[in-house]
Amino acid sequence: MICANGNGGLIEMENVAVHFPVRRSVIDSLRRAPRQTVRAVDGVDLVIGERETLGLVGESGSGKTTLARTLVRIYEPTAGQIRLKGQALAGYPRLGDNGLCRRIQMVFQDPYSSLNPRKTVGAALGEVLRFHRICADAEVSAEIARLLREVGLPESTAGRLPRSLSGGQRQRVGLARALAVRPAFIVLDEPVAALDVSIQAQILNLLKDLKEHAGVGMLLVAHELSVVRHMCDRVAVMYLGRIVEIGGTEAIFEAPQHPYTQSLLKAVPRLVPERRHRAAVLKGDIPSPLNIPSGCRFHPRCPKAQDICRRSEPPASVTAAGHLAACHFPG
Amino acid sequence: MPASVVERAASSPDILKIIGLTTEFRGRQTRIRANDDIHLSIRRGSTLGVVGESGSGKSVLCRSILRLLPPSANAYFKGAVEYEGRDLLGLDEAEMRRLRGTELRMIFQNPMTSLNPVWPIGDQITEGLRVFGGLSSRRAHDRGIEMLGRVGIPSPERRFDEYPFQWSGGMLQRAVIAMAMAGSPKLLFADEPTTALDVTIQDQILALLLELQERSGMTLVLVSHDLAVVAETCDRIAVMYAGRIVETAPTKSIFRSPRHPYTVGLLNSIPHLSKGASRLVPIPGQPPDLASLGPGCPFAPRCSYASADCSTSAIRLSEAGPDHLSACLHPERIEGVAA
Amino acid sequence: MAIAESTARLSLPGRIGRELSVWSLSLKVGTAIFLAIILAGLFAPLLTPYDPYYQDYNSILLPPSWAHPFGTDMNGRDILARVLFGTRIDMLVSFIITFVPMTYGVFIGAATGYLGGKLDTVLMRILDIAIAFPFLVLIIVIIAILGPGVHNIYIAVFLVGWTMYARLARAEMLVERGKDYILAAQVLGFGRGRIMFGHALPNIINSSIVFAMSDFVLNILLLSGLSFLGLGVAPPEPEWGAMIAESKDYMRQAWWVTTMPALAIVLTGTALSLIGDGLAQRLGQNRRSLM
Repeated sequence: MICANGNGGLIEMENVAVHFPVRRSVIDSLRRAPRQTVRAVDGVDLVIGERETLGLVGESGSGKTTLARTLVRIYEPTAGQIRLKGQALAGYPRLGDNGLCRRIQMVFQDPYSSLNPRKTVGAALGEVLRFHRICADAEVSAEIARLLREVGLPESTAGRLPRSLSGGQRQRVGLARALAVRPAFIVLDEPVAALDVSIQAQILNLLKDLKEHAGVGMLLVAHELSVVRHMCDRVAVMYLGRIVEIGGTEAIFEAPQHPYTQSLLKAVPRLVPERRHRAAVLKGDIPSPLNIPSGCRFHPRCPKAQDICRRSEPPASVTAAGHLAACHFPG
Repeated sequence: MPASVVERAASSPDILKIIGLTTEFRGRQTRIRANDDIHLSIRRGSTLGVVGESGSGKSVLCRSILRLLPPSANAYFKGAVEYEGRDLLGLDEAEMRRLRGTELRMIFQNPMTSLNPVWPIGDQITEGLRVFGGLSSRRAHDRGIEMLGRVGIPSPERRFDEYPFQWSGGMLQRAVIAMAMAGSPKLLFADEPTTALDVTIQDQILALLLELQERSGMTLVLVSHDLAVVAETCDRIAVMYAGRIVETAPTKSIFRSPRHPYTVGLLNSIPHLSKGASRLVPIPGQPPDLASLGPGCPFAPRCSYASADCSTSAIRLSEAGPDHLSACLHPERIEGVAA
Repeated sequence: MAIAESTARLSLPGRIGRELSVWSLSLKVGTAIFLAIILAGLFAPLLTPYDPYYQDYNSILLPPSWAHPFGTDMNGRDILARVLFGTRIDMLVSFIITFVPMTYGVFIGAATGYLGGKLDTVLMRILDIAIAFPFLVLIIVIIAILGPGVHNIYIAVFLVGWTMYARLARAEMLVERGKDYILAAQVLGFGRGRIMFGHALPNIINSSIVFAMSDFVLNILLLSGLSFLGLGVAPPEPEWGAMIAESKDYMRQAWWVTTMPALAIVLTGTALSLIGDGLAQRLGQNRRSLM
């Protein structure tokens, strides 16, 4: 469990867990095999401040995507509570000016399936504007144009279908769609992972501009650490459903305290022309969220593991102001 | 095949020489040159990185060399690919198949789909040995277990008969590598072998590939969109754009003194892990539509150094430095990578 | 290539012209034949001077000639006239028994595919039962109970003809439901009904439309078959199948009496198959996105 100090909580997560029961086959039911649960998110405490950009990194099975989706209520937490501006998410209406759909929005990873293939860009944006009554009917066209400009697209894009747009352009449209409701917070699920490198930079710059000018808080889920370093104020590292380290971006990248973060940073290929890879940084596979190791989840792969790591979950140690690591031997 | 030709080929420093390779996909109304006039020499025992984005033609290049393009692609080739004194493009299919099963191997991006889901993994690894290597089932089985052990699979004897669905992505990619290495290949193409894997697993797989390469002395061609992966593992890099090679040089030279605007653009636009939150300089515009390429340099529309002749004169790879080729018409205009 | 953008600027004939240029030969030929058949049915009174019901006992079983291009039948009726007027019956009835079940079949399949849960399980079991029975047998049984006649054919097909569409729509919806734009619509707050029918349905309807083309052909054959068995349209209506049925005894001495209506069925079926193939290809093109 890690609490981190943001500057005034816009989003607060308290001991959030999201578990998925695995459907049993008939044979397993008859055999009375034990029910299995995928503990995708298993006890997360987090505070995100207004206008803050938090990066959420992790590999497969870390739970970062599940956590992101729970924030926009695609999934419901199995335990724990999520609060927006101090009030539980469950207490908010879905629609209306005070509705969650107006407060928190999401940008998806896959540009090729995140837009309705049959709706032109203008129709899709217009539908959102009209449904939520963001502006008067007469102003919809002007607002669509404004949104497109905000994401760096020409006004003529409104008449185009997604299939005539490139991946980068589609991601911009997805961003425009999320911005249409003027949310306070946007969750971005791997927004540049599916894009070409030369386009990624354009989108990342755009996100940075939005961060500075649009005043939205952002949760950026990414597996590319370099992207996170470029964009985020703070970074949280997840492993098997829990946050193992959280702190300011520079602190995390310059002085990581948790062995997993350290290994992750060492494992990322650097953009320097030096031949490396004498030996792999971490051995073994990533465990599945179906079978979470006892004690500290990372202990089977941890180079520093001791007996206590097998036996008990480490508490969060404050290693510096605002920097926490869940390790028995941080540093 | 005269023995003298083969001998000469075997002793040459280049294991593979691509001369003017052009791959053209002919549709009903369109002709797309996925590879255009590729010249590339791959040194024996080296590691070559081929870098490019989507549409660059890097995957098509590997598949053209190994002639793995499907008939439905309706591909037409020009040029030659010299391997051990023979032109691969001119070989008959049976001989090509034999080479693909023994000396010239390839591994692909998605380990989940590279293996047949209904066959045991061990059988898939040893199939090539039995069909092309002439090994008996028993000997092939033993070699298969040995290979699984060499790629780092624990308890290989027990896992030999397991099915792909029981293994994770990282383990499957190891199995794919075992399959490729089983026949002691001379040249291995790896097409984005770690793109679908997590960072820590990618690290393991790259370490494994390099270790196996060092031990066996084989030549490795690593195709990737990730310049960092290639930077850390390859001696030499070839940068591709719109179906052409725009620059090739030793890795250090590519980074210290890139001689093509596209390479410079890439280096400036990629967020560095080691650099803080400086502003990225993206390459303006979009990757080109291969079906509607004009004459001249394909990068010209996006190039900040371009002049009028860049859009009209055909490009060619020419010497831009020691052991350094570039297809830029005006490499002298390049200032270099932003600090 | 900004196809959508450029077509937005073209005028209507330009857009139609552009659309037609993408059509395959199958689609063009099939549509042309089909249109010709429809027009023949519509303008039947203009295309023949004869009354399809008029029995001229002086002209029994006359072979094809200039006066009677398709000959006459055993009751002295002009066959061309009967084939032309029969077009109206066959086309109309087949159209209704194809597209009406398609409408609610697709709706049911899409809704249960999207909503899942118990509703989906119940529907699947109903579908399993319905598909387990041979379609034709079910129809015949229902008509045997209700009695022959076009209206009872409607009832019978409306009861069982929707299942294939429900299956198709449900299968496609299961795939579509996982796509990000549907998730995005949920996150944006749109209601389930709107997402199901406004967002997802237009994207999954293609396979049902293509299937409807083959279904149309099969339904023409169904109608003709039922009439042949005496369970469909009653004489003296000029329905193609009924015409074949009532003249089967004269096949040997007057081949034209059975052959002409049969040719009409074959021609219509061929046209629809061509359209089906061409549509499948044309709609498939829409899916391909530019990378």
